[in-house]
Amino acid sequence: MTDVVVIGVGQTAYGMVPHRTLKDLFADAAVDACAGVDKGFDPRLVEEAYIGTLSTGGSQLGNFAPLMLEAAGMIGASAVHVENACASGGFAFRNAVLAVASGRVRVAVAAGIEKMSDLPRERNRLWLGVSGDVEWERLAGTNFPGIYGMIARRHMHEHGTTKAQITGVAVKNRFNAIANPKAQFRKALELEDALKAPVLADPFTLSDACGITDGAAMAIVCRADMAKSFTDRPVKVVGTGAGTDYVAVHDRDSATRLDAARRAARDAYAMAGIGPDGIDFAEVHDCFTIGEILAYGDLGFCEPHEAGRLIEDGVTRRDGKRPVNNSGGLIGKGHPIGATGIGQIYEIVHQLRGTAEGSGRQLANPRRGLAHNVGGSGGSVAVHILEACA
Amino acid sequence: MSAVSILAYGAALPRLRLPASEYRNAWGGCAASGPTQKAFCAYDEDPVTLAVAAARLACDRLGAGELAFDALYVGATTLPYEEKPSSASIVTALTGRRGVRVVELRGSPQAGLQALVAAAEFCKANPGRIALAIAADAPSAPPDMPYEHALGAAAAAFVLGSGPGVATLGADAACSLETFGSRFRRLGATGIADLELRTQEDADAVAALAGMEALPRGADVLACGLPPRAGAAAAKRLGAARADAVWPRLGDAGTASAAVALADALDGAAPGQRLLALAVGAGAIGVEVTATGGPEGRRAGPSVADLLGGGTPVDYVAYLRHRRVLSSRLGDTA
Amino acid sequence: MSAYFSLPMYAASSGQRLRLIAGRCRSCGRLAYPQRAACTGCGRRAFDEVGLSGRGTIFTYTIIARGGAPAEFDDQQTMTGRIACGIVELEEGPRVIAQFADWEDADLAIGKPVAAVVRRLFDQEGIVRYGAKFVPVRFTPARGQEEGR
Repeated sequence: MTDVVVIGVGQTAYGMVPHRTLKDLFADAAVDACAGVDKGFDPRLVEEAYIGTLSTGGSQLGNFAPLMLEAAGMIGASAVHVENACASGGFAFRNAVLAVASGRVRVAVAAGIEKMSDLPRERNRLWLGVSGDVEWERLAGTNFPGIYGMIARRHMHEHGTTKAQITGVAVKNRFNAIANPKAQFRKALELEDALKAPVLADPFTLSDACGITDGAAMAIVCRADMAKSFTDRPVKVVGTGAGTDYVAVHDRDSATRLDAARRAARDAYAMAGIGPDGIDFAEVHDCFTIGEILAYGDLGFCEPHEAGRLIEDGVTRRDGKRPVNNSGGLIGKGHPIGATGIGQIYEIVHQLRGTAEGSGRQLANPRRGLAHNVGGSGGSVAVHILEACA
Repeated sequence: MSAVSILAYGAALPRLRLPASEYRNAWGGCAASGPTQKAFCAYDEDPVTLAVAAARLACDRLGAGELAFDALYVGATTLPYEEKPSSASIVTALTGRRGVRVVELRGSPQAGLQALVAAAEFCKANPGRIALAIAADAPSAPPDMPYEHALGAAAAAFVLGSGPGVATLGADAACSLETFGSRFRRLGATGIADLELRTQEDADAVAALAGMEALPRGADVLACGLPPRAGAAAAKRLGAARADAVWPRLGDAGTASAAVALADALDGAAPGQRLLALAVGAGAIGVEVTATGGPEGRRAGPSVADLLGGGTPVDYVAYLRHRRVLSSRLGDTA
Repeated sequence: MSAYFSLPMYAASSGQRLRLIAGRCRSCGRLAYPQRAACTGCGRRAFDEVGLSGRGTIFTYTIIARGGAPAEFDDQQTMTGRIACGIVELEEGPRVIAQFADWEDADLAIGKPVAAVVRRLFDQEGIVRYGAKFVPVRFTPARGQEEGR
């Protein structure tokens, strides 16, 4: 298999931009990605494109990928819309990596985009209830706040995790986002305020959830032996892993671990030839605070019953032993559903190249970063491990 | 000709209650005659869900697993559709079998007992077969109409067949008396209209029924579910010792009132006690029921008194919300 | 346009929903509820229908407050407030997600007993969708009967 490197990443500033068109938003990310290639990059070099989106509110359901390529100046390349709910971006990246690794494709892009702020309130909720097992979970009357709320309730019951520990994820990630110029929420969140916020789906308050975000991101990958013509600072993709699980939580053996994440992590670690200890920092899927707690266990950072303490002891803070969601995560940085997985790659690449944006955000000499991108409540998960080139 | 037995029965009430005092708070008075409270359907209840709950209780009391009934008679005036029989939904909720005769009776509060009598006639014509009769109703009227104050909701189900049961059905009789201006509802209208005339059409119907002399006098209890004064007058007319006392805590549950009153009477009936079930509406129907004591376990679970004594009282605004009176977008969820 | 659960699909699952009909795998005996095409134990595709009792305990739960419910339940939520959902572990083994009905805060805890009842889910396209919800099992003393039947 051919080695694959990332030569450039781009991302829009996450937030609510209802007036920006879908095509313009995607173009912004493409321009940023091409500009991020040190020695310049002609978009027409792209041979294969994987573009993740849930559905951008239904505005372009058919031929989505070619429409986006037009905006990126990449029309003509092979392209496909990738959809695995909130893991669309992660799976788009995996597909791009595998295409280059196969030896068949020299230059590929993985991108993602989501735009939902232009929808009326009721349509927003129609779209947000589509990634569970609709036949049972939606008809039971719950969206993801409820499903993740049930998972949190069970985690507290089985592992003794406390609400304060779980909500501590939001406090940490909101703090991390303050210095990130491309983050959606850049104001600190105090634990006391978070615990007293209006109830969303018990035990969650509004502070335990990510918001609605518009955004786009793009990563350009190529064969390692071609990298030099684009950059002296390529980032190597040393591990890719992915898995699926029963979409409905009630069909899984356990409600407190994501087997798809475990499988994805296992495969990524094996491919990279390392274990969890080899990871210096990670960007994980905290669509709800419990998502990050689950990630600690599923990625092997600790045992499930220790996950709450990891937050409490500050192990995963920016200044901790293993920073998690240094970017602000989904809760702080934002969650444009289809783009999120690519946004994680964006942050990891910048950190590994020493070019992290925002004062004080650069970690000291990180060697390997891990991206963990979950679809829905864990029906699909993609994990990637990237390594700084020496 | 062997008598048809009530093998088992069960009643179901919604869980919510509206105290009469809430009408006084909201409107300055409660126009219903002498109720303490009434039962009404929560947002996710309707006569279909009540029918299923009553039928399941009756079937559970039979203790035989899934009941193999051959006919279902449903008496209701407020099923969700004019066409598309909700009785088919009730069958789906009770059994996977297809070979069931399903009959819906509507048109007046008589429909509940009409269903009972029709089910009995099915059993007489088909010895050995089982029929299920369900009365389920949730009559409604516009909130600013005084007669709305009495309207409630309930269901009662009876499993009929041959063999030992809790009671046997005896003579029945019915008369027709067209009404003009009391309790009517045109096609497409959601609530009952009533011109509140001074004619006494219900009392006239009872008198006509009594005049037919087809029903034996001397029943211990008249099970009718009528307001206390009307019930007492009907009992006197038909020669029954007393009427039931269901109304003050149930309200007017349409076709289910007489059926729930019958279930209540059966709860407390000693073997040999004679009951007369009566329903009125553009005429009247009566049927003689004699308690027999019955096999063990046929009265397990909540009695009608338990149901009437339970429930959760709410305030008037909550009542309007549950009744969907305040919904502007109901059904528009495409 | 959104997630749309069609009437034919609803019709096909209606009996299974209302009567809690599971599939018992003919090869390994595992119970599947909700029913599925392939057994999660052995992967085989032949089942016999088995009616479940509807009794179970709360495996986990949540109480949904502000607009966290799908659009079909928007009117219910606007009119009646908080919606409680959870995963019920049925006494025969399978777990199923469902809404709770007739509940108070004290009824919702992991391990509490519940039982299935038929209730209205929502109205759409002029057709009422019924389904199973779970109510707390509270012991109503009946005349002459012991607690709990």
